[in-house]
Amino acid sequence: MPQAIVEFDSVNFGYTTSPILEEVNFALEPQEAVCIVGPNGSGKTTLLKLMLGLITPSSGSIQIFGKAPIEARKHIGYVPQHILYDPLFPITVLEVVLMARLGKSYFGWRRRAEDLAAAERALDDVGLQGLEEQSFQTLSGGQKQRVLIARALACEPELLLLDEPTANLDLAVEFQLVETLMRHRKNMTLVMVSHDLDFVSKVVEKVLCVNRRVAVHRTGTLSEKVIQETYGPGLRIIRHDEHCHHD
Amino acid sequence: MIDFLHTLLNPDLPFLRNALIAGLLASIAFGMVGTYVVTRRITYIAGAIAHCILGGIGIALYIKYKVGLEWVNPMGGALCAAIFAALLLGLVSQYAHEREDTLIGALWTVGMAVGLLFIAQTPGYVDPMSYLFGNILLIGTQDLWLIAGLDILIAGLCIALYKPLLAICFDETFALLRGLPARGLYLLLLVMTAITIVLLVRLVGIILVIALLTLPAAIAGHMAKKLWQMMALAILLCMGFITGGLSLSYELNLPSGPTMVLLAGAIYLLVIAGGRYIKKAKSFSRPQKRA
Repeated sequence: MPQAIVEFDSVNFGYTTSPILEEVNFALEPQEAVCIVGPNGSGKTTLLKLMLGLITPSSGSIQIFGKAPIEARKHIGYVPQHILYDPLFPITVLEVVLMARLGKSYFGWRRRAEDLAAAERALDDVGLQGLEEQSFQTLSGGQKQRVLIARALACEPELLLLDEPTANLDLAVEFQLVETLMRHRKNMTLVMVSHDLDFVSKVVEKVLCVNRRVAVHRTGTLSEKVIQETYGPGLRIIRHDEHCHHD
Repeated sequence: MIDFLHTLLNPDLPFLRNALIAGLLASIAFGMVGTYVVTRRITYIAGAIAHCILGGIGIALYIKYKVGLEWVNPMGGALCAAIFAALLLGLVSQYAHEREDTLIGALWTVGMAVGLLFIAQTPGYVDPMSYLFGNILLIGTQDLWLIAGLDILIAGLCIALYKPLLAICFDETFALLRGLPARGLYLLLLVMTAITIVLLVRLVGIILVIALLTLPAAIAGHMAKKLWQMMALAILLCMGFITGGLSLSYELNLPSGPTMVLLAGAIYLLVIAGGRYIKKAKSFSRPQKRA
């Protein structure tokens, strides 16, 4: 059996005395694609932050590539839900994406050719080629999201974490994102937080249903009962006709 | 204007020349550090550091004249207080779950109170106004060397650490995830801000230093596309405000510090108003799309 990429063993976490996550146990294998679903405040983003080592569990252990999360960060690409930055910040699209390469070239102004090539490839991947010198502040919400995805791809990660990647995207761009992620499936393990179950069903084979505790289901076995157990009994599920999809 | 130029070129009157050279040199540090202060949105932290300086000055003056330690220098006290305030604010904002704005307010006012209290207890007369509002016309040749040295230090750090400082100002969490010592870089940025403020307080004083640190960078931020462009533009604007303010104050017999700050403030308001007008005009002239 291959070594697990992500391994949670009896993890508990709470910002205060009341727990957000309780007895979380799961393991992800190489090249697996999983989605974290659950209602607001159920601990989805907390789960990602634990994987990134931005917060530490109250008890239990987390191993990423067999190491503590902080030591494994260089193998991880991360797309946040949103970033807090000065809206007038003078920075170009290329400069944002090149931040992914900071661990490799640190001092001075010069850009290495291989860093530039990785940034260009990542921008091509998200369909933003030609916008390298465009000011980041002038982009639409969806374009900014794609730049952040390109930044994560330019890290050339073995584990890609995405926090609600489709939140600001229209259907056409979402479709493009599905294609991009499918292309990279062979090279990396994907973990994404999403409420978009349609998107989830296209990209991933496993779903982590989070509501304080974590239950792992295969996408094919994700029944209405499971979704209602995760989101609560007030949820109404409406199935769309297949023709409503993006073709 | 003629009077200003005449005095500037008069070899027997070095005070105005020194003031202008000091202002032009200071603009380099103001423009570079100010750009980081504005984009990282730490203007209030810089304000608290500036006001804490009075506490350091007051304690140093008290030790010098009351305790009798002659070697103690008020600017040394200012530097210690500024670095202490910068590190305290930086560490609290990074590690403690304390309300940052409350701590900023507390340091801001406690620093001033400590300074005024110690100055009041110091034997002889010390005018706190000279520290609060500064006087660029009292700058000596030694100060010019000090400011030039600061420029070299600040410019060197800004060039060597351009990429990591850009990253922590834009998205500190991502910088941390890429393995940068983001917290250390943030503390370094605060210490750079503290040193810049201390050395430049001589020019415009504790109260007005924040205006020259932030207004040129804020104006430049409306025009620049990249961080280095914002820095360069902020340096040029700061040079313009200091030269313009100095000549206006000399011609109209006004205090130099407030004149520079008012000039910078007026241009800032004009840029904001002009920017909004241009945006509105563009949206009106754009052809309406048919439904």
